Amino acid sequence: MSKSLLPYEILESARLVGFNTDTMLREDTPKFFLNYNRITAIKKTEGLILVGKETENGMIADFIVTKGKKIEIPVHLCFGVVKEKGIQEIIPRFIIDDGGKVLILAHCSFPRAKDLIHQMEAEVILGKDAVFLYEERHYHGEEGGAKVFPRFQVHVGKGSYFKSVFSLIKGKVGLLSIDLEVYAQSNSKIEILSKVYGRCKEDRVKIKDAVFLEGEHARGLVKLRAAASRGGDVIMKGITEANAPYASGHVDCREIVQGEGSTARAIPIVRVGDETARVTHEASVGRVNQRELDTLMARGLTEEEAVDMIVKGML
Amino acid sequence: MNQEEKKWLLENKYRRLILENIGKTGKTEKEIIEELEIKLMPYLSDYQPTARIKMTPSSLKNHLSLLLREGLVEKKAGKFYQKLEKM
Amino acid sequence: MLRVIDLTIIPEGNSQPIVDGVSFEVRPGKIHALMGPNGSGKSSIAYSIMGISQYRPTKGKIIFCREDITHLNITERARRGITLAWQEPARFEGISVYDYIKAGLQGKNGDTVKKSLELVGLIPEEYLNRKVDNSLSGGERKRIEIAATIAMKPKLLILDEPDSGLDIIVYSEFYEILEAIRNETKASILLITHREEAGEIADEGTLICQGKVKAQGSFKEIMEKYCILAGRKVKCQKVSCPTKS
Repeated sequence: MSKSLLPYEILESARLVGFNTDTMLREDTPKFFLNYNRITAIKKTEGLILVGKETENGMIADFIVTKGKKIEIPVHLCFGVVKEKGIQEIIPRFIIDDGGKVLILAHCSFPRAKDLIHQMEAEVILGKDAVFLYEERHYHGEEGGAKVFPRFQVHVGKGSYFKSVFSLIKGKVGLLSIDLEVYAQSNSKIEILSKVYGRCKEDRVKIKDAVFLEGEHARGLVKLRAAASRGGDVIMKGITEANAPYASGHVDCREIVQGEGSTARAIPIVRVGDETARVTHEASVGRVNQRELDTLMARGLTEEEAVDMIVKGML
Repeated sequence: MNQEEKKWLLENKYRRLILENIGKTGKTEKEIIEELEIKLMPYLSDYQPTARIKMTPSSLKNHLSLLLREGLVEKKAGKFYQKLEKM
Repeated sequence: MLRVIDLTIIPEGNSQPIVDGVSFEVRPGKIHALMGPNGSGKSSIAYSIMGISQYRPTKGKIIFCREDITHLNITERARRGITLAWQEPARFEGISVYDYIKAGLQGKNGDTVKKSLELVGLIPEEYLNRKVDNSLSGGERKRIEIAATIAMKPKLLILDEPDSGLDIIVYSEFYEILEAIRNETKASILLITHREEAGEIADEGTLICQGKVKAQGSFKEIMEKYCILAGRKVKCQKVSCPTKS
């Protein structure tokens, strides 16, 4: 399949964040590529329905795994914009029907963003006994001019498993505001992991990950990891609310702050509305743990190298 | 408790759905469970998903209990009604 | 190899020293036990030798390989061949055992990682990809910590209570590991311990009590003094010590 499906900068950024672009571009790899408001590739496979409609500023799309189908190969999505300015709006629906299973690897890339807005309003439903693994890796270029607003609302059916990993750890962030809400039914399992590195004073990160445990024995884990350096600002709000018997959840926030002017705030919110449910939280915000630093320096690393290693490990 | 302090109650979509559902006409718990269903139809595709999500009775009970306590809902003769209070 | 001269440490905010005029020497290729009851100042001395900032000497000198390193920072001391294995090893989220050990190699051959794990009794293939976090048991983390220090091929290896928290059944294995380390690396070892069993392996020692040196010399001499201090009526043997009667 031709490399012209995606602009060079977007492919390069995909490589930078660790995706295998050879696999992405291969003929038989299930995929959906959007270059600003042009759908440049759709490749379905049995049990997987991918339908998109271009709009003036982006697209509307359905990503569907049909009942009982397990998609064994990862599906690659790519939403990118190489313009410096503008707005991209994406409205996807993810439907993983009863018994379905899929892993989606999504890359969102805005390599030249100077004044670029990206908005995503995604709705997701998992039926019964379904599995949806979703990993989204972003790259916002080196100008710090991206303004990115992903919003997800996810409903997870009985016995299902939803795992979402979001990472933005290369390049500058610009402005990032994530809003994720997950509603979990009986015996379902939710794992949310968000990792962001705000490297300069232009970087403003706001993350809200909320898990509502609405069924018996539903379990949720919200893990937030961030580093703010050279004036970056990160605020992370992790909410877990348990409203059903024996539901259990945990919120774990860890933010490292380096350099003058950098700020980090962690707001773990735990709520319980059933006498048998249990939710816990832990948060750590501030400079790198001194013991960890001393340990690595006692191996011959400088303080800077030690901090770098610890932050990389965390993110 | 003032409006600002009650905002967190409506962070949960299920509670918003309950309030919408009961409205002014009032519903029993059984009616709410039967009527409230979450499904997502494709925007473009013809595919008809079977995935449906219904609220569990225990979760509904807990939500109603909370909404009653916070004064957003009132109960009369076994039915729940939304109390008219703007959030 | 190492000379500690009149070391005194008065931490910020304290009026009393936690280490008071301590002097001792660790000879090349020897295992020197720094012994004493809990709270005697042994670990503080170890941290000061490593250059941990909260244990900066108020008075005294630390001479390593004939160089005065008293005012060098941790990294500078590590690069001169001193390293420390902590009593309670830190956990590192997301860092693999391989990367953790390799961090101290400073350009040396990566095969050293596997070899150092073998020396501490761990099978490399089972541990290299694991993370240095809570998924490892306390004993595993201790071994990996020691492996990380061995891999550096240091001149002076400081082991801070490496035998604490170990089951009695594991002691003999632990001391075998220590002997293997000594033979393999030819490093001098400063062993911080409050266990009498350390006598099995130490060549000589220093007894610390309330921040001061109480005895120095061979391990036997140290233990005799230790027992007197502890109020034991029968003098200690090398292997076991009867309790106060």
